[in-house]
Amino acid sequence: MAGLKNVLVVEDDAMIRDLYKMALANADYTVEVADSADELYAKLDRFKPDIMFLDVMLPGTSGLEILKELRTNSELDCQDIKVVVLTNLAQRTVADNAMENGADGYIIKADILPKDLPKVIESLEED
Amino acid sequence: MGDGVKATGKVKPLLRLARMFRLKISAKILIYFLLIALVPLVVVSYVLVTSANNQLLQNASTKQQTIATDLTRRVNNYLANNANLLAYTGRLYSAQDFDAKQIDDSILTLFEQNATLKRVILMTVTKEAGNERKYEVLPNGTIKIENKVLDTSSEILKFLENKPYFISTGRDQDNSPEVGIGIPILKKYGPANDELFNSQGGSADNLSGAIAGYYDISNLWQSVLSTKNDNGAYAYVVDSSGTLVAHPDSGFLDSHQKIDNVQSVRRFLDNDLATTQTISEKNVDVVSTPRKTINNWGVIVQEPVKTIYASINSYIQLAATVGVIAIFLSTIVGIFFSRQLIRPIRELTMGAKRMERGEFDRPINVKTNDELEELADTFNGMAQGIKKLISDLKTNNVRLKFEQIKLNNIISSVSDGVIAVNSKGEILSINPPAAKMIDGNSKTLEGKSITDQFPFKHDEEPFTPDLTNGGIYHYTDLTLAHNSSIIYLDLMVAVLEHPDSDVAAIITLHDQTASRELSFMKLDFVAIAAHELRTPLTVVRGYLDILNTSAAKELSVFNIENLSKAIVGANQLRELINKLLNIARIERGDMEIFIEKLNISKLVRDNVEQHKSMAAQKQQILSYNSNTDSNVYAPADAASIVEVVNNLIGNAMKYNGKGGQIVVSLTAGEKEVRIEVADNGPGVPDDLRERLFTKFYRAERSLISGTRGTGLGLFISKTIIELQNGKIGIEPDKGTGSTFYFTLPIYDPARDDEQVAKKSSGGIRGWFKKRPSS
Repeated sequence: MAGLKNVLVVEDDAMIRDLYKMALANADYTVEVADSADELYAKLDRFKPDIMFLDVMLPGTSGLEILKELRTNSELDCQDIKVVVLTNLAQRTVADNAMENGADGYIIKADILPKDLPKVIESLEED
Repeated sequence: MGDGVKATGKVKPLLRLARMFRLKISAKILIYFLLIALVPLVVVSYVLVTSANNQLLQNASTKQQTIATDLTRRVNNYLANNANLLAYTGRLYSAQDFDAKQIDDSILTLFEQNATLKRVILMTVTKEAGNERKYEVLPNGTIKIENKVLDTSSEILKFLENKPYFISTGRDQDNSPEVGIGIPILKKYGPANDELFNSQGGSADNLSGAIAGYYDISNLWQSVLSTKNDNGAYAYVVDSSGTLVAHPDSGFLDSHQKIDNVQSVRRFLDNDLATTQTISEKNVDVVSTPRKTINNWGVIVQEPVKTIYASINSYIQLAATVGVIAIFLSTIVGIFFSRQLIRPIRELTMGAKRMERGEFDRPINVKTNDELEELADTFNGMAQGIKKLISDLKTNNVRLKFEQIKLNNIISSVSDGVIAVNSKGEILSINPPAAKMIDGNSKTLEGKSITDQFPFKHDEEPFTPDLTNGGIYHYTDLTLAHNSSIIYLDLMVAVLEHPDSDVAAIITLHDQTASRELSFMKLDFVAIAAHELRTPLTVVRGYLDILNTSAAKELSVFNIENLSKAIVGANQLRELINKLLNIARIERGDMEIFIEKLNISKLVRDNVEQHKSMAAQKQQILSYNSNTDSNVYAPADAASIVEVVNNLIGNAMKYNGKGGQIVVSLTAGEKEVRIEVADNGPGVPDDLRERLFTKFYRAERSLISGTRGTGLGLFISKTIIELQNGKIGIEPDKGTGSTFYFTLPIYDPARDDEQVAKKSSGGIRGWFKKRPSS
C-alpha cells in the first residue's frame, strides 16, 4: 500500500499541530489538520486521508472514541486508513488500548522529532 | 490398659495399709527402743530357761533314780529276810520230821522277831491226808494255834509245785495291807545254796508241805509310799501283771486294780526301766523311774513335770519383771529421745506452716547442731528468699498493672488495629479501630475466631497468619474485603515465644488504604505533571530541531553553539521527565516491557559509538570489545535496555575525570550475555555499594565534584533488568575504578518466540509500530 500522500493531523495543541504540518509539508505530503472531533468529522466530508495522526487527549471527545468511530462507522469511509496515535501520557496502557482498537502504532510526542514523521509514514508503507 | 487397671487395683490396698501404719516418728522411736530392750532379754531368757529346764530334769532324774533304787532295796530286803526265815523254818521242820514242839517254838520265835508277822500256816501232806496248823496273833498279843484237816488240793500247795516260793498280797479283816510269803517244804532238799530265799522248788512227789507267813506291811508301805521329795515325787507299787499293789492314795488304791494300760506302768511291764517323761496313773505329765523288785514287782517313782519345772517359774518371773522394767525404761528413754528428736522437727513443721500462712519474719529456732539445724537454716534462708521473691513479685505486680493500664490506654488510643489472640486463634481482646474495620464491636468479637472475622487475602488467596512459631512477622499488601469496600493492610504479628498467659500473639493491623490512595494520587500527579511538561517540551524540541536544520546557513557560529546547548538542555529535560515517568510506573507496578528478539550486541556497540563524540569532548577514551563477532540476541525490550546502557555509560563518563578510560565489553556465554562498563575513576566506597541501586541515591562525592543527576538511573536500571530476568550489580572494588555490569538471558527461540511482544520500534525514537498479528 505504497503512496500514503494524504495526511490528517488531529491535535489540539496549535504549536505541535503547526510543527507536524510543517515537517510533513516539507516532505511533500498533502497535510490537513483538525483541532477537535467536530473539525475532524467536518474535514472528512471533503478530505480523504491515507494516514491520520490522532492525539488521544482532545477536548470533548477523546482520540480513542474517535478511533473506535473511525474503525466501526463505515459511513466515514475511514476503516482502512492508517491511524497513528499521538500521546504524551505516562501509561503505556493508553497506547496499548489504542492499538487494540485499531491503531497501527503510537508516537510519544516528547520523544519524537517532527522531522522523523515521514520515516514513520514510510515504515507504515512497508506493509 | 487392662494391666494398668489391675496394677492400680492392687496398689490401692497396699497404700491404704501403708497409710494405716504411717506412725508418728515418736511411735517409731518407741518401737525401736522396745525392740532394742526386749529382743536380747527374750533371747537370754529363752536360753536360760531352756538350760535350766534341762538341768532340773537332770537333777530330778538323778534323785528319782536314787529314790527308786533305795525303795526297791528296802522292799527286796524285807521280802528276802522274811522269806529266808520261813525257808529256814521249813527246812528245820523237814529235817526233824515233824517234832511239833520244836516247830511251834521256832515259829513262835518268828513272831517274836518280827512284829509285823500276823499269822503263819504250816501245811503237811502225806499220801493219805493233809494237816494244816495255823498260828495267828490275836488282838491281845497272844498267839492262837489251831489245826484243821488240809484239803489235799490246797491252792497253796498246787501253786508251790516246782516253785521256790510265792508271794501274794491282800488285805486282812482290818483292811490292812498284807503280804503273804509261801515257801515249799520238800521231802528231800538238794545241796544247800545261797539262792534267793535260800529255798528250792520241788516236784509234787518231793513236796511234803509248805509254810506261809502273812505280814502286815502297813509300815513298810508307809515308809515306802510316804517317801516324797520337795518336788512332790512319790512312789507306788505294781505286781508283774500290772495290778496295783500299793499306792499312797488309798482311795485310788481302792478304786483301781489292774492299771497295766497306764503308760508309766506299761513301760515297766515292757521292762523299760529308764527315767523318762510319761503319763502317770492319774493321767498327769510326769517324769517316772520304774524299778523291779526281786519278786518282779514294780516300784514306780514319779513326779509331775509341773513340779519339776516349778522352780523355773521364778526364772520366768524374774525375766518378766526385768522385761517389764525394760519396757518401762525403754519407753521413758524412747519418749525422751523422741521428744528430743521431734521437738526440732515440730519446730520445723510449725515454721513451714507459718510460711504457708505467709509469715516469713519469725525464723525457725533449732539449735541441735546437726542436720536438723542445717535444715532449719536452709528453711530460714528459703523463707528469706521467698519473702524477697514475694516482695519483688508485688513490686512487679504493681509495675505490671501500671504497664497494663498504660498498654490498654495505648492500645485503645492508637489508630492501628490491635488484636490479642490465643493459640487457637480466638480473639481475646480487640481495640476499637480493629473492630471498626469489620464494623464490629470490641466486646462481641471477643472469643470469636480471627480467621472467620478477618478474612485476609494476599494476592487474592486467603491468608491466615502463622501463630505457632515465636517471633515478629511483617505481612504486607494484604486486603480485607468488607461491605463491598476493600481495606489494604499491613500486618505485624508478634507471636510470643513462651506464652505465660492465654495470649499467644498480638496482631497489629496497619490500615494502608489511605496512604495507598495518597501514594497513587502522588503517582497520578507525577504522571499528569510529566504529561503537562511533555507538551511544551515537544514544542521546544520541535522548533529547536527546525532551527537546527537551517542553522548552518542562517546562524553565526556562536549561535549555532548556543542552539546546540539549548538542544542538549531540552534532551536532558526529556530524559528527566522520562525517568520520573518510569519511577511512577515502577511504583504503581505497571512498568511494562516489550520483549523482542533484541540484537543486544548491535545495540551496545551502537550506543558506544553514539557516546564517543561526547567522550571526546571530555577527553575520555571510550572503547568497546566483545568475545564474539557474531550478533548476540536476547529476549529484551530495546527501549528500556537502551536506557540502561545509556545510564551506565553516562555514569562512567560523569564520574570519571579528564583523560579517563571507559571500557564497555560484551561477553556472550552459553546461557547469558554479560555487559560490563568499567572505568578507571575514583571507584565506589564499600559502604555506599549496597545503596547504589536504591531510589534517589547519589554517591556523596558527586556533590563535591559537582556532577549532576537525579540518582534515579541505577534504581530504574535495576528494575528494568530484573523485569527481563537479568542481573545488575557492581563488581567488588579492586582499587582501579569501578565496574558495573548487567546480564540478560541468551535468546532461546523455543522458549522466547511465544512471548515476543507484538510491537517494534523500527529504530525511531518515540515511535512504536504495531506488529502484524500472526
